[in-house]
Amino acid sequence: MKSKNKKLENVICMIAIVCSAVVLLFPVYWIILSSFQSNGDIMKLPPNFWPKKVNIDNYLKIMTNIKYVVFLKNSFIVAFATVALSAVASIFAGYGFSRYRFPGRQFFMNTILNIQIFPVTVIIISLYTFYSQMHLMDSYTGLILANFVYTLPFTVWFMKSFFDTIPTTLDEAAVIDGCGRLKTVTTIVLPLVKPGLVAASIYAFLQSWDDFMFALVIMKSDAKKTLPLGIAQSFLGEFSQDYAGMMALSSAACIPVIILFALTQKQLIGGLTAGAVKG
Amino acid sequence: MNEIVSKRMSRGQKDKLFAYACVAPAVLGIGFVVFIPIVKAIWMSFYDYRIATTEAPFWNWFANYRQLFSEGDVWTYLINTCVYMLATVGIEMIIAMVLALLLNRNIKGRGFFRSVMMLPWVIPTIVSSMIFSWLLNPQFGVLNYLLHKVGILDNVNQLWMQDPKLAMVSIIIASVWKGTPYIMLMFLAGLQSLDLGLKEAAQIDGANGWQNFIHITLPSIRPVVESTLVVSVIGTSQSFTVIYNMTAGGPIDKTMTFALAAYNKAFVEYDLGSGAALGVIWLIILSVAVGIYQLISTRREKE
Repeated sequence: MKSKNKKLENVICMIAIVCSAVVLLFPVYWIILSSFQSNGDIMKLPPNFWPKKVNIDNYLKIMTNIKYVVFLKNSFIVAFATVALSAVASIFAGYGFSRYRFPGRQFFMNTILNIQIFPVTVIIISLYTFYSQMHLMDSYTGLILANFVYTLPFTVWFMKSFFDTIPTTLDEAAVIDGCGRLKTVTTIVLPLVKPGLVAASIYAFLQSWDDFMFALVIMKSDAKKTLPLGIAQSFLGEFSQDYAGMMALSSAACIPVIILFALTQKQLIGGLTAGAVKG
Repeated sequence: MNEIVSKRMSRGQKDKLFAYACVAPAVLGIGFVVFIPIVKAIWMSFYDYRIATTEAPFWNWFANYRQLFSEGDVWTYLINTCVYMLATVGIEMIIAMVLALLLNRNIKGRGFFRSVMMLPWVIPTIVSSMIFSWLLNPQFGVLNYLLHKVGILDNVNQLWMQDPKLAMVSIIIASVWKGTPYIMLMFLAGLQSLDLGLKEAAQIDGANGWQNFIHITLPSIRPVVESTLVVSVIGTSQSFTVIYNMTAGGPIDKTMTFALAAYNKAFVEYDLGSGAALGVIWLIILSVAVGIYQLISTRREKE
């Protein structure tokens, strides 16, 4: 009797999970479906819930129009540079916070972890005045710098907790062997925290890829705009509503991050939840 | 001899120097992008700082603040921000908890479902804003079609983002969809670290599922719930992408939150001083809220 109840419970749970997954995934299905149809086919009622015929014109359009390719290129440039900076800064900061005790350590750590509390909208208003004076407006450097700093709360903390798991005796042995401090980090300890570095870098990539607001304020010319701006600004005008094209570019924007997530989800999810469990 | 020793640094000093060099890039980056701008924003909020006066901004006796409060806009933004934030975070937490409890059971394909449900978190926020603009499109939106078909809506061309009442609902729906998976992941991690022995003991004592959840599960994962709540509240209150792209604060300011209003003041009306003032007001409210929370939680820990 009891096992029968348990079985029934499991079946109900399974049904609930499948239903939730369907509801959660329906919007994703809907972009993909819309991206493979012409505007004429999607702008009608009742809508097609199944592709009548697969139409790749939208994708051909975004792949052959240099404007869209430039958005994609810019997003990649900014994301890769953000990841590189974030990796270097978080390796060293993580190591410094993990291994050394120095005046101001706690203060710096708390500051880095808590920058979220400062409203980004305020920061961006005054950052705009600095960037204007320093000619960083409409430049990759300006956007990369802003994105890079906003990855730090996660990446620094994450690298630190990874270094914490590696016994300090290893560093000490290296120093006794005559290995300098810098060399100890790069050749002895760093190889051991590679999985952590991968997760931190993926996170930095996702964040840079997702950025909309910094790009909106900093990038003014079409040649410098990133993909999110491209998606938001090129399809919906007063006279034309190209939802199909927008959905194709949106799907294209999802592909890199979904691939990255699929390849590294174990490390990434492990990293994201490590703090939750510790409390 | 003494001089030579004092010129050469001791090991401890070298260690310190190296430590500072290590944290320098991160600290300097944050100083330049976050700290100095925050200080300057507070300064700007007391000045007449428009694009026209950028060269020579001048002190204007709190005119930015006085105007914001006297026109009553601040209260609108405050209410909108709070409604949006509380509704979004509240709904997210409930759905995330249900999903986490479901996924915490021993079910086939648990890992698969967890990964698949993380998709909304992975895809860019701009994409989620655009999908929902499309799903909620009044003319050809599939949501109107489905709601009409099952008889909930009489009007198949129901306005959503353009309707003064439903605009807020629209941005909440999109934000919940995007934000729930991350919270679910946190709750799931909390649930998986639970002590199963407690639960079994309670079950033997005759506790039912609901009692079990309220008295055993929830108290044990409270730290996770609380930290997630704080992170979500701070994050959601800053939401910009979804609102900007779905309603842009409209119609008639019905979805104008602090984040949107500050952006509009600064970059649409080119009144940087007032934009900064709005941000400072929000910063104070947020800091007070977080401060109170920390006070309560430390006091509780002492007890």
